[in-house]
Order: sequence, then C-alpha cells, then structure tokens
Amino acid sequence: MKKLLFLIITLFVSLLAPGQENLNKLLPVRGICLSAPDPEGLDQFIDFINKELVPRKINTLVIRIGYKYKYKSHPELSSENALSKKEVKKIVKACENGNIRIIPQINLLGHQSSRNRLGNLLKAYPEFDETPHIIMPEEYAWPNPDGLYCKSYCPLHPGVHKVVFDVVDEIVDVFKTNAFHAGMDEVFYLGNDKCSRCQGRDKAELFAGEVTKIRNHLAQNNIELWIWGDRLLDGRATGIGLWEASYNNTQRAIDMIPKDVVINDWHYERPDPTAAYFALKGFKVVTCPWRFPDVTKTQLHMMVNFKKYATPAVKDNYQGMLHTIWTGSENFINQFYGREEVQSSRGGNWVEAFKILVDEINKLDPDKYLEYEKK
Amino acid sequence: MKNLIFPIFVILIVCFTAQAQDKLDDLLPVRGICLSSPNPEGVDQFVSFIKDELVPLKVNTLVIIIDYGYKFKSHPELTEEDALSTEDVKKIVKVCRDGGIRIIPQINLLGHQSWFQSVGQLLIAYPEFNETPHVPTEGGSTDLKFPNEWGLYCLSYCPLHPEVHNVVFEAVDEIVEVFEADAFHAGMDEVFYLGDDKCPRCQGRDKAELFAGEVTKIRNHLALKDVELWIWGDRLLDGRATGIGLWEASYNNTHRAIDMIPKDVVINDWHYERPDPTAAYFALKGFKVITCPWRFPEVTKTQLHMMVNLKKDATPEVKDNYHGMLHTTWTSAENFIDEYYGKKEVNTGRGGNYVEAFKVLFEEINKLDQ
Repeated sequence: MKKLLFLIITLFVSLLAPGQENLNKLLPVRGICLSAPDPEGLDQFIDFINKELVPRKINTLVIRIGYKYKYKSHPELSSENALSKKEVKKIVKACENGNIRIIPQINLLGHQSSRNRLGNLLKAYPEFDETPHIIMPEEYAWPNPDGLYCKSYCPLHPGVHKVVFDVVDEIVDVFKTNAFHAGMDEVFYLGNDKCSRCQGRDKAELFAGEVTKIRNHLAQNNIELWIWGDRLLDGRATGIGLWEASYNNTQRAIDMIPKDVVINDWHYERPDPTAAYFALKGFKVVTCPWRFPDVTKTQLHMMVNFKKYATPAVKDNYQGMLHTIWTGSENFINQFYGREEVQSSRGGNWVEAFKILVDEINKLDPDKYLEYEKK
Repeated sequence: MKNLIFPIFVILIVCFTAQAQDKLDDLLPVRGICLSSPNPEGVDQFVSFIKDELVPLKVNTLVIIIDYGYKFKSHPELTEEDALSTEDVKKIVKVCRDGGIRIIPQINLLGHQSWFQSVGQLLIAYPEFNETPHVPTEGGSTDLKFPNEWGLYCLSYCPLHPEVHNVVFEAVDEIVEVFEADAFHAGMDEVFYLGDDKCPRCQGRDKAELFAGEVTKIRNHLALKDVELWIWGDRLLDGRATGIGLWEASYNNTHRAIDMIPKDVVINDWHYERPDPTAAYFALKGFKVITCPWRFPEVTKTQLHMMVNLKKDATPEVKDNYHGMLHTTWTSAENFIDEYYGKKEVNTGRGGNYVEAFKVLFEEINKLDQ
C-alpha cells in the first residue's frame, strides 16, 4: 500500500514537472536576499522558508551572513549573536528540503563599515584598511567631507586574502553550497591616493583584479561567484548615478573579469534595461528589485521579454530575479505577516513588491517566452 | 463674423496638430527610411513617392545611398554611369525640405568597396587604396559567392593609406554640400577586410583601433562643419558573445572600438531576424541609437515597441539616446516603389516582406500614444 502511494505521488509529481521545468528554464533564479537571522529568530526564519518561500516557488536564497557565524578558522571575526554551525545546518536543511539553493554572502572589498560602526574584519585587522587616515565618525551623516560611505579593505594588502579566503571557504563549506556572494557593491574607497599600494593605479584594474582573484579562488572548488553589478556600469553615461552604477571609474572592469561571474543587477527606482547590457557582454545576469511594486513588475517582464527575443548564445544569460530586502529578516517576516508596518523613508513597500513579484512569476506562461518565431 | 471663425478654427487645428507632431518628434526624433538613390530617369517618380507617400506617413528622415552615383565635380573619375546631376539632386533636396524630411546622403567608406565581382569606383580609380590587392576580384578560381577561399565579401580601402582621405573627404564634402545636409552616413558595416596580414601599413595592428581610428577621423573631418556622422553599428557589437553572428555584429575583433570612438557618432543598429535589445547597449554606452529593421513585419513592430519602451523607462541622461527607427529596404528605389504600389512582387529570397514591414512600422508609429 505504501508502495502504491509512492507510485501515485511520483506520477503526480511527474505530471506537475513539465510546468516547473519550463519555469526553471525561463527563470533559473527566483530568489530572495535576506539577512541572516539572530539565533533566537532561527525557528521563525525556518518556518518562513517552509511556509512562505517554498510554496511560492522561490528557489534561491542569498543569505547575508557576513561575520554572523561562529567561525572556527577566525573566531576573532565572529560577531555577537553569531549563528552556530548547528543553527546554520537547520537553515541548510530547510532549503535542501524545499529545493532552495542557498548562497551565503560575505561583503568583500567594500562595505567594511556601516555608518559609524567599523566591521569585524577591520576591527581585528586594522592594517587591511584602505583608508586608515579616515577616522570613523562618532555621528555619521551622508554626505560628509571624507566621502565616507563604507570602509574598504585594501585589495593589494599582502595579508588580506589569507584571512578572508579562510572565512569564505568555511562559510561555503558549512552552507554546503556551490555559489558564494561577495557583495562588492558601492565600493567608493578604492585605489586611494594615500594607500601606499594602490595609489595611482587604475581603479577598474584594481576592482577587476579583486573580482578575478576571488573568482579564481572559488573556481578551484567549482564554486560560482556572485556579485552586485553596480561597479561595472558607468553612472554618468547611463545616468544611473553613483550608487547603482559607478562614478569612480571602475566600469571598464566589465571587460576585464571572467564571464562566469554572475551579475546581480540591482535597480530600485527605475526598470533600467541593464540586464541587456550585461547579457550582451556575455554575463549571466539576475535583476534585483527592492521596494516599488510597479518597477519590480516591469523588471520581471523586461527580463522575460529580453529572454524571449535573445539569440541562443545569450538566452541563458537572462537568469532571473532576486528580490532584495534591506531590513533585518525578523522585521521582514513581521512585515510580511502584517504584524509590523513597512516604513520606507524613501517610498515604496518591499513586502508588497516581493508579493507582486512572486504572484507575477507564478502567473507567467513560460512557453510564451521560450518559443519565439519570427514572422 | 463668419470670416473670423474659419481662420480661428484653422489656427486651432494647426496648433493641436503641431503639438501632437512635437510630441512624436520627442518620442521618435528619427522616423526614417533608407533608400538607394534613383537613376536619373527615376528621379521624378522618386520625388512623387516622397511627396505622396513618405510625407503623409510622417517620415522625417531619408538616408539616401548615393555612393558614386553623383556627377562629382571634385572627382569626375569616381562618378558611376547613370549618375545624378546637381539638378536631379536638388529636386530631391527640395521635395524633402518642403516635406520636413531631413536628408542624409550615404557614401560607403572603409568597407563595401566592391560587390560580388564588381569593384567599386574608388578602387577602380585608385587601386593603390585596396586593403587586399592580393585578393582576385575577377577571373580566378571562384565565382565570388560568399563564403569563398579568400573570405571576400567586399573589398575595403586601407584606412592607413596616406592618400585615401584626401580623395574620399573631397567626395564627402561635395555630397554633403549638394544635399545641403547636416549629417552624413558613412556606412562602415560588414567590414571584414581590415588590418589585413599582408597590408604593409595595417599588418599586426589592433583591428578595434583601426576601425575606431577611421570612424574618429571621418567624424573629426565632418565636425569641422558641424556635420553629424551616422554609421551602421555592427562592427561595435561582439558577434560571438551576443550570438548575433558575423554580419549584424563582429567576428573580427572590432567591437572594443565602441569604447574608443566619440559619443556623438549616431549608431544605426540593424537587426533583421530578431528584435535584439542592442539599442539598450548603445544607449547605455552614451550613443544616440536608431533601430533599423528590414523584412519581417512582426520583428519590426517589436523593435519599435522596444525602442519606445526603453525610452519610457530611461534616465534623463539616456532618454534622448533612443533616437528612433530607420527602415531599410535593400533593393533599388525603383523596385521598392513598384513593390510599394503592388506593381511588382517582393522577393527577398530569405523570407519576409520589407514593403509590408515598412507599412506596418509607420502604421504603428502613427498609432502610438506619445
């Protein structure tokens, strides 16, 4: 009887499978980017994965772990409230069961501080600081005379990669994953004139050099590198500005980095058609919305339409969508269930945007976009 | 009183129409067609076609492929048989001006200096400009179908030949002047022969630099008189990475030239079989881009809607880079006009129907809600 039940289930699953398979072809990545929870939020986080993400056919979770893990290789880097190995394994298991690919993120190069708080890497290794002459402020405000958004580590410091690659390897291992997200967005401090190693160097080459170094390290174990795409876009020529694109001359790095780096192309206020730019350059690209439902929806439709008309060489470069959530995962979950209100000082509502994205994805008829015949 | 009402009515109508036209001009600054220049005996029909068909369709740009089909005074040795006289050209210029059509003459520079077995006027008169003099163009062991053992599609001139610009720039200047044009189209598509290994000047050089050097030289020459340079965009796209192939994109390593040429060169981005989103690529690089369809009505329609949608969502810096549509026809002007009026059937040999595609394009343009 049990066997019969198994057969019936198998049959049922295989009947469902064609639709799912085509959706996987159309949008290989249907993801969400969340911060890692606190240990006490873990169960709720896992519940959320099981009850909300899996049924919505989310298949990718980028989890911003940073130093919120009890590293064995570098205990000096672990933050308070760090997750234990056992706790991470619970998340890994939930994702495994729900067929969600999990991709841990540690910010490399940039984002080594946040407002007036120095990150753990530069606290433990102040010698890695690209701009040691810039003192962390008591009160943070942007803009400021130092142009301090976040600190960076110096990509040419001879000791930095030994340390960060140890933690990258450890996190990839504990998450049992085949992809790692290195962040690398909004790197404003790079090739600083006062850095004895970087001074006078080409910033595009510095940025590309660091991407390539990380990619090569990961490639030894067949791990894919994911990064945010902003430094590869010219903020002035595109009019996209200094956040979602580059004002510090890093954009030529797009022609210097290996083509197997997966680009997370984030645009929040307009559906910029930069996915076409990356895809035509030969990169796999994932469009990343945030807080405006209408923009998010347009971005999704742009992605699938680009794919529809793409040449065979480029089709698979249009990889899908990754919704970003820039609040604590506890907050997000509360907001998702309406227990807390979304308060975006800059307009929009990321919970609404996420729900609409998933709704729209599940309304898509993949065949409509996978077959294109000219007339 | 009656005397007053009518003029007021007319003025109002004209104002409203003008406003709609303004908006269409904002949305699609270029609504063009690319045609071969007619033979002298076809000029009157050509002029009528412009007046009777193009103007009412709100076509506002005519790229006219003239090449050496004009009686050049500066270089009579370049003039083809059946060339147009100054008077012929002026008839075309006038009808365009009267109809609000910007006319942009094209002479193929760099590439397209031959067609099958027939060598173009420039290399007949100046064989020393040939980039690949070792490639036979007549007789030999081939009928010169492509592909052939020499990889010959069209001959090119050598962009580093010390004399070539003296000659071609004089022809360019003369043609710009006679057409009273503020833009010139240099072609520059499908340049397969470039930086040839046997050319003593070009051998071993970076092909992207050679291509960019030639674009920049032509642009700088035109800029002295505030004349805009238009070129086809294919050499600026990577044919392999984009999967677009060796015609509508480059297999000969010229694509990096996109980062080397001045941003005021207007890109004519031609794609015939798929609505490639390369307009976004060019626009985001900082270029004004015009999408150029040909023979598939559905592809053409999708390309138009892609253009206006990209524009709709663009940043203020990029918005104006989405510059419009230029329909290409690739047959003689006489044929096209006959086919347009149904006096002849369209046969592309490769499917599709460029007359239908043209009609659909302008029907859609005139339906757009700006």
